[in-house]
Amino acid sequence: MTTYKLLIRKFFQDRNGVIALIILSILFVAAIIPSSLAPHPDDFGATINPRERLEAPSPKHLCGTDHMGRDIFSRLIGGARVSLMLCGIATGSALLIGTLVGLIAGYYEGWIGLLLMRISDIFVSLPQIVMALVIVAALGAGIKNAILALAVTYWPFWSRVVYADVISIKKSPFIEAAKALGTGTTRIMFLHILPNIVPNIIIRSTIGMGGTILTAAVLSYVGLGAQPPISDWGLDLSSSRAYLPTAWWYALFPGLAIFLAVMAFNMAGDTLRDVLDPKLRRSRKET
Amino acid sequence: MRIIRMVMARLFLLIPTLLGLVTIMFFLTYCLPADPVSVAAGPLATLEQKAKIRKLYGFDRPIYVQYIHYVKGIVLAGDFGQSLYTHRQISHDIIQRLPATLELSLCSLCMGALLGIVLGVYSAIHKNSIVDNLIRGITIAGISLASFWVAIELQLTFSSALDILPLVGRIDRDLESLRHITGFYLIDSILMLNFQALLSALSHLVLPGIALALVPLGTIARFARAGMIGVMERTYIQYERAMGVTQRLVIWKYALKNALVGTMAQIGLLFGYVLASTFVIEKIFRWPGIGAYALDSILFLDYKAVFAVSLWAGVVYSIGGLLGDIGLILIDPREVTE
Amino acid sequence: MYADNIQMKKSSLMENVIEVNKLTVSYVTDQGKVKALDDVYVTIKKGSVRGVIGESGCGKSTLAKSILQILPAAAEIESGEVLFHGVDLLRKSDNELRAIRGKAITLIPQDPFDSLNPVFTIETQMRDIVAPKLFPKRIVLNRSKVREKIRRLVINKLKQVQLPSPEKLLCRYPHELSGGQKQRILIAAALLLNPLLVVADEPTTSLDVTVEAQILELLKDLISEYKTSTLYITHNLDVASAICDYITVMYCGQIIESAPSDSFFTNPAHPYSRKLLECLPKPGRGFIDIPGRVPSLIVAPQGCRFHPRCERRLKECSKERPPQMNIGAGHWICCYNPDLN
Repeated sequence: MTTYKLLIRKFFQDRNGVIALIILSILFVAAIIPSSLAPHPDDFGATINPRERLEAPSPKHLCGTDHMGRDIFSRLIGGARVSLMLCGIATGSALLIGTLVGLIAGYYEGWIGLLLMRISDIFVSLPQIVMALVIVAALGAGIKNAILALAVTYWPFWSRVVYADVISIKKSPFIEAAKALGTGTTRIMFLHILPNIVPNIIIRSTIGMGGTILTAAVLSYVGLGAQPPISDWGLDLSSSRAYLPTAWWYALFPGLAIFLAVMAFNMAGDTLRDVLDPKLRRSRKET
Repeated sequence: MRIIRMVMARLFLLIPTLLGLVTIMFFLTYCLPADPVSVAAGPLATLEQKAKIRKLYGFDRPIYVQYIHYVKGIVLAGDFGQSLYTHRQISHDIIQRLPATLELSLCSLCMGALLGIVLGVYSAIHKNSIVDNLIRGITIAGISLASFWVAIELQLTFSSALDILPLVGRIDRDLESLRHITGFYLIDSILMLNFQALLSALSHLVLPGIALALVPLGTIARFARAGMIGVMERTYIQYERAMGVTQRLVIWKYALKNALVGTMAQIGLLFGYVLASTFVIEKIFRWPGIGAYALDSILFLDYKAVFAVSLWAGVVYSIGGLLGDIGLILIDPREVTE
Repeated sequence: MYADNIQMKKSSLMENVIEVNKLTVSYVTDQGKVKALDDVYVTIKKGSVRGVIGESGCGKSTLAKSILQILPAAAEIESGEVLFHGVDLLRKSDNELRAIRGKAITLIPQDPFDSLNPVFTIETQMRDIVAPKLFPKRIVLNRSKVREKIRRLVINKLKQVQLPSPEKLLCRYPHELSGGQKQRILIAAALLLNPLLVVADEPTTSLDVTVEAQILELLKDLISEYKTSTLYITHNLDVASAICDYITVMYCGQIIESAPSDSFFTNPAHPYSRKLLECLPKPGRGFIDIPGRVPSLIVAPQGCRFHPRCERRLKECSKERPPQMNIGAGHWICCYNPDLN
């Protein structure tokens, strides 16, 4: 009980961590109740306001308007939902699949381990974005395919990380002890090995969310992700290009949103690493 | 000696991986909804025209025949087929565009890495100072920024607003007709003693270079910093200090080399990252490299070209990892003895 | 109180290589300031070997680091001076100190396994220790000549520490050598430029017993041959008796006894010293230990720091720190109730 409280307190002692948490909270709120937060919730979709077209930032439109007259600030808030949902689902599924594969491959080793790792290696032979681009291009543009592509290209990374961790933990004396006592395989995998991998996974998934948001932004930017008129940061960036350099706000704010979101995840990941790692080492020693 | 053996082994392992890659690509592009022929022919094509195209590009043969034909072509003749888009040999397209991408990528990577090392070391020495926090802010921003957004903003600021740097392209329009010896404009202009061209080439490299260099800079700076902080505690550093080795040597020679051991593994990943970034960055700056070509091929579903650029991406990614491992062996003598 | 000592200082100014006077060094820790060295006096006569004995945490390393001036940032020198041939090292600048370290004052470190940089050859590391002192102006005109000169110097010294085929050793990396070989190299490095003072920080602690014996033999020979003044830190009394001319005993950051070697080993006056000698395992006797534990420096006992564990303690021992007392022939002690038999 108290270790968790200690960890949480330690997290809050890091200034960067607090900032990150604030930004992330705003993002989550924006993702859950965008309509309440946005001043012009109608602009999430396909409204057209030709009279307010491409207006510079003003008190009425904090970030200006786009080429359809929509309020960019509201669209940014709408974009938060798309980004977090898209990337959350993709990262989550990749995590689940990858962890499972890694556990099995690492625990049993042998030909199953080899096979699974070889398959992972093939997917990792290309940078994630390249393969994701090809997959979405082949399947057809759209959010669902983007999620699929991101998940499919991300899980091998997890399986390799988990595999390596499992291999090293397997050698620990307490695993041998559990085996000697006759503990079942599933129990060992999930109750003994998994808890030791969890901190590493948490840290990496936080940083991974940041990376996924960037990759998703690239997909939308080249037109393979979210399709108009959905509010999406990458998509808005791409739409803005035709109206530059006059409508500078149109390119600035979506990009800034991407930056802040990714930065928040990265900072949170860093703080988590500081909080969890030394604690981990200490508690391992004590047991 | 060990290096050569390692390189051979890795290149050897690369073959099945690439084969697996092509297999997956084939499966993806042929067994899924979008019809390659329709894409190639365009929306207004008649059935006859489509049939013609199907025969011309070999789409009428069974998949496994196409597959074998394709692989044979590569292995025996280096023939990657013909692009549906440019109607030229893909291998020709790639080779022609290679120097542009290499020049841009290598310059960005090197600049980013060198600056990253310097910043990382500085940051570590002045740990927890204002400078350290500033550098750490810069480095985390570096890895959080979307490179294509930075590219756009750089264009807006330095080209449109301030007009001190060129907007697109590799070199000024009127200097384009220069004789190309290597294809690397920096080298060629020096060889030709054409300093106007050199200046032009350099100024065109700045903006895309910065956009590409941010992530390498941030990553390497962070790893160098962490590495240095760990190394400075070590006994051998204390010993060197105790025996009066000069401070500059202690930090930049003795500590740094140890700190870089951890950074080497990142180089492979950074190669992959820079390569992937060139896809969009080259498009934005109209840089005539493989990246822009690759992006176009993917968006137009120019299948053969997509396979070719995927293979290219796979090879570069592997080479990056290999270089990282070689670097590790070069730095750390403990890696050499088995 | 310390008048006798000050007189000794004035008269033997030229004879002492090192004089540490009233040195107090404290560390800033999470739990407050800790006095690692409390009013410490140490002198080393020219050409002699002074042993500093004490258990872990008594301040021996801090003493060594204070002389070499490589204390960590958290350390604070509250008072005192470290006179090296009459010159106070505490007032010297970093550059001046760097010229001294590795040349006039050298170190034989405790850990041969991590004291040599793993990614550089032996030759490179030796060269970077020697070069700035031999060629301070860094004239790089004759680089190969300079390297050759340094090379020959190093090979010579490696031969003196009885390392076979030193030319081959130079191009090796530390991980290819054994602990004994590395320690010999470290000794050679310490003696390369004929230093005025060698600080040997428990040089044989990490070695196997047989190797330890060889190294000790080597050290003895070299020290007596070159008559190098040495500060020999150890927790092993047997080693101290073999090598040292003078003994200083430390406990919890304080000097409690200081005497010539013979006088110390025949007649240790401080109860702690006596106990230390009794603790040495002797066959057929069984284990003897000192009751209690070394106190943490944060909550150090008042007065004489050893008094809670001392059988001979008196009332005064817990009130004020005992002054230095001369019990004859250079034998000094800080105790209210020494055992003078």
